[in-house]
Amino acid sequence: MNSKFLKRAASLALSGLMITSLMAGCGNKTDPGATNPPATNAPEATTDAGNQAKKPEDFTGKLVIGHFNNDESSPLVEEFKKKYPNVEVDLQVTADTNGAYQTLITTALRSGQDVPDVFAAESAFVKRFVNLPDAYEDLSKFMSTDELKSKLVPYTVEIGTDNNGVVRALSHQATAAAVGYKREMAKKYFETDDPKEIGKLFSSADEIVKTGKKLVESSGGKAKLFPGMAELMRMYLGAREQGWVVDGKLTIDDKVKEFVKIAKELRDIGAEGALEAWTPQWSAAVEDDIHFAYAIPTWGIPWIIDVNQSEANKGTGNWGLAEAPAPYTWGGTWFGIYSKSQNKELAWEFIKFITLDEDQSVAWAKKSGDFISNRAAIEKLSKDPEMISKTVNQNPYEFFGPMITGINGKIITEFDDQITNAFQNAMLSYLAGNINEDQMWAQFKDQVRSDLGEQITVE
Amino acid sequence: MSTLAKKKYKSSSSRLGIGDILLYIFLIGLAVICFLPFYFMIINATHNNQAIAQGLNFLPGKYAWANYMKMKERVNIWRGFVNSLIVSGVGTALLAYFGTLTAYGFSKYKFVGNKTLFWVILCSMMIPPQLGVIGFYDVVQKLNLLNNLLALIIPMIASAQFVYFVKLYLDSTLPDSIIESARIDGASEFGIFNKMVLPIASPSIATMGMFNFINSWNQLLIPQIVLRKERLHTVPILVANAKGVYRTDFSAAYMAIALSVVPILIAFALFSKRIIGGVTAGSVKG
Amino acid sequence: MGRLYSLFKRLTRNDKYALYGYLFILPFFIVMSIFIIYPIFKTFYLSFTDWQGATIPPVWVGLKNYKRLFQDVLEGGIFLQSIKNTWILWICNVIPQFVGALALAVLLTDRSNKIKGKEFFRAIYYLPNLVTMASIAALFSFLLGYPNGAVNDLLIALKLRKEPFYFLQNVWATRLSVSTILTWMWFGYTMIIFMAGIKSIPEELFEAAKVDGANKWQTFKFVTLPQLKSIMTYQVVTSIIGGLSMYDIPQVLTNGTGAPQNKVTTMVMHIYRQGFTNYNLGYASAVAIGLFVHIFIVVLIALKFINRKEA
Repeated sequence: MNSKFLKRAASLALSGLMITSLMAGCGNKTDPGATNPPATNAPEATTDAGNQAKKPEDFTGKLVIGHFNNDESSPLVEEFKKKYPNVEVDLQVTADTNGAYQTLITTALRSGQDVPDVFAAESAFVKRFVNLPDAYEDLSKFMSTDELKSKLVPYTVEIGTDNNGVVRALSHQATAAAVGYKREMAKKYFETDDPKEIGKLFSSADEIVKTGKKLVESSGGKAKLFPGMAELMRMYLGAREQGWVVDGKLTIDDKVKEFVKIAKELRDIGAEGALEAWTPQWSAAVEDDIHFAYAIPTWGIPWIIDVNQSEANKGTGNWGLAEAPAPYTWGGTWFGIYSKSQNKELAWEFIKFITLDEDQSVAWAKKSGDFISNRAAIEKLSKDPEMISKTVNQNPYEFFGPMITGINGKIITEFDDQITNAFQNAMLSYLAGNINEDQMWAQFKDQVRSDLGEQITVE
Repeated sequence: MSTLAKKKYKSSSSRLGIGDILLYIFLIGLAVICFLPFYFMIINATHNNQAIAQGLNFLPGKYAWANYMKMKERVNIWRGFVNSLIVSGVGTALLAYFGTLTAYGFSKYKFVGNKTLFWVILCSMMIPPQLGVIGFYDVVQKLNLLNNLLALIIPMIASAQFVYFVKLYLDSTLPDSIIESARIDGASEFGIFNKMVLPIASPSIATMGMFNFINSWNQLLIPQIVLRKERLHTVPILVANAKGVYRTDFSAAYMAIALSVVPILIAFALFSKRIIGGVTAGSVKG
Repeated sequence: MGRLYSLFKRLTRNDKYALYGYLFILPFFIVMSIFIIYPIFKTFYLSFTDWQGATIPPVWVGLKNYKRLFQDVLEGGIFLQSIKNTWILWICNVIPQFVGALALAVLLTDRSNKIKGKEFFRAIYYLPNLVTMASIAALFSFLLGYPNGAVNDLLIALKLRKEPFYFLQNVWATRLSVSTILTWMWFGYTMIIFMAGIKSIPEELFEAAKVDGANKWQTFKFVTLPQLKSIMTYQVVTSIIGGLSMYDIPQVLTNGTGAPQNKVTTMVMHIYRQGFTNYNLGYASAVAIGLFVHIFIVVLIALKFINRKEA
């Protein structure tokens, strides 16, 4: 009985093992190194006889691209495929809900397997990936840093640079930001909707508070300067001289202290609407006649204003762009090449295409409404009347063009996301009146210490 | 509330007393509260962003089709359904078989370490899934199961909750005598399991199986990490993506949510009869 | 071969069917070892290291993370706060949930009352359990919005308040919201489990009670409750485990911040934040092990308590 049973058990176990290994074998494996057989079209004769320059049609192979936003990445890939028809592109999109995209890339990097040839990083976490060893490739192998900075908006290159000065990621966008305001309300309460005049209202801390007071008083308490605290915060963070971390220490720039003061004042006089960004109510407030100004980056025109306007108001130029106290940046997506990719040449073609190709940049700007980072293209578009945005009745390239080189990319650190979040949380409680200013700073520092205490010092 | 439930009322009379009416009001009120959020989600799925943001809508709007098209641009929800169905369906089926087998093993077989091993299972229940995510990814990768639905299906077999509950049920409803007599009649152990134990345990299997199905359907974290090809994404991942990155497209998101709930409702409607109704039939004591 | 044989004999104590016992539980344990036990050991290992989760391999640091953990608890840090929060959120949810579910279960299984539509009620009370966390959170942060969420609009329209109430910045309002949502989501499930338990109580016991002249309350106390002991144990244990590892609802409702003032951060949220947002994976693993020990002890105490009553 026993031996018969043993035999039974053994055969069962063996078949079980075989089945498992069979099923495992069925798993899909992305093979970044796979190359299709070379294209059969004969390469076109190059005009430069001595130069071995390859035409886009000559490129073959498969490129794996990782991204977190389908809306943004799909069209980009489409454009690339049009110009490089013999390249197969596998676009893998995973939304960054709860950090899922970041976890995905991080774990892939760790194991060294299944890392896309090109993967994107948002401004919130680009610095981290740029500084991670063996993540992004050194791009100076393809083009020198100086050349990059002359062709692309400098601060975008700065953000893609690691702590040792090596450029590893580039962005096809320049996401400068300013103050977006509603023209109707401007005319009603300030007798003008001229961008330069409105810009004066936001030119300093005192001016801002004055404007807020005026708005509240003349509207009988109905109108508000900003929908929420985050608008002004973004502007102030951009105006800083020093970033959140200097020499490994948590640094609180004077601008931050100034912001804390004004934010409290604005909330207390009722000039700030206490709405949180990206909530349905905040989105709805774009259409109303209560909240006067929003922090609008270049991508805010399509994705904050346009998308939340009613059909009747879309493209009627009822918004305007005015200068913030200092030029600042918000958001943006960077692309880099995986340091161990088998397809680096192809990957560089993609990045080159979306950033350095002037024609593509111009076409992309017109098609997507994105503000590109290619300086030659910006120059061209700022003179192009076709680029006058119907939403704000201004040419964003003309408007942002001059200020864009003045943005300081060095104040961005890899800890920004966590620190800013901790700051924002503490501020929300403070502004709601539940804690006082000392408690606010204490909570902020405690949180930063808990989050990052092993990497930076907090006093 | 509890006193109301245990209040003594004339069970022989067919008159509706005040107690009964109050009770009905309470029960119906509770039912409304349970249903209301679903109602709002479905209503919101038929409105555009402005209407949603501006307040509570009680009546349906006219944007259902528009929202559906917007959502479809972003996510292929039907393929998501297929994926989720495969994962949850096959996983639950495997769990139903192997889980019950395990529960039966613990319940009716005396072997060294029976109690200890059962305690090990209990302990594994105490581990929140987030804890082992890194190790889980490690394993999946080493087994070459990344981007493979099997990575989600196979772990479903190890549901401690299921085994605990079914074992409890078997302990009280499966007498040793039945097994003994079956053995005397010459039935094999597997035969006994397949022909006798499974049917007897079926109410508990249906109960826990359904819970498990629903739970696995709603999983987000692990599938997101393991499945990277969009055509393999399960429904919760698609719902998360439907909002669009700038998170302003609530109408498309609500449409995705509304659609994602439908299969679960169907599964529930199918299984719910079996569960409690069957439990009465299964109570064999003494 | 002979030694293996005698080992077998000893293990199975001459019960020839015992081997089948081992065989039957084998698949479960194989899968569990691979997908649950191994990850736990990995977490345990990581708790003794410093690791950012990426390309730099883990660095052994001995008990450093645990020291930090103890310091946090002793000095009243965020982890200690999260322990308090988790318990508060759980208690505020589990008590109404169990009481309500039990009462409803008794009500809907009572054969002697004339309530129509029991099937319908049973089904609809379970409905909330079907919904995903994301949807619930979206809905509730919308309802509780300030200054113009649906609830605020209602309060002002009904003249119950003059100004909107900042729900999600008020510690107790946020906590009770989380607990209420949880109760709403789980009472139907708990009720069904209890109903399953009640239905498996043999008729004869109820008959006997009736013959003895017991009223509804006495029947409940002396027949139903005792017979439900094992089901109740199951529910209590799973509730403790689920409650102490609470994550989804507070996470989505507060957008991961545990706001206000970290008074809604649960232990798992803290672990998640440390591990996946801050990439302090070594410390996060230590906290995770700490949580596991915590749950283990609580479950042990609960089981001892329940079983001691049977003196």
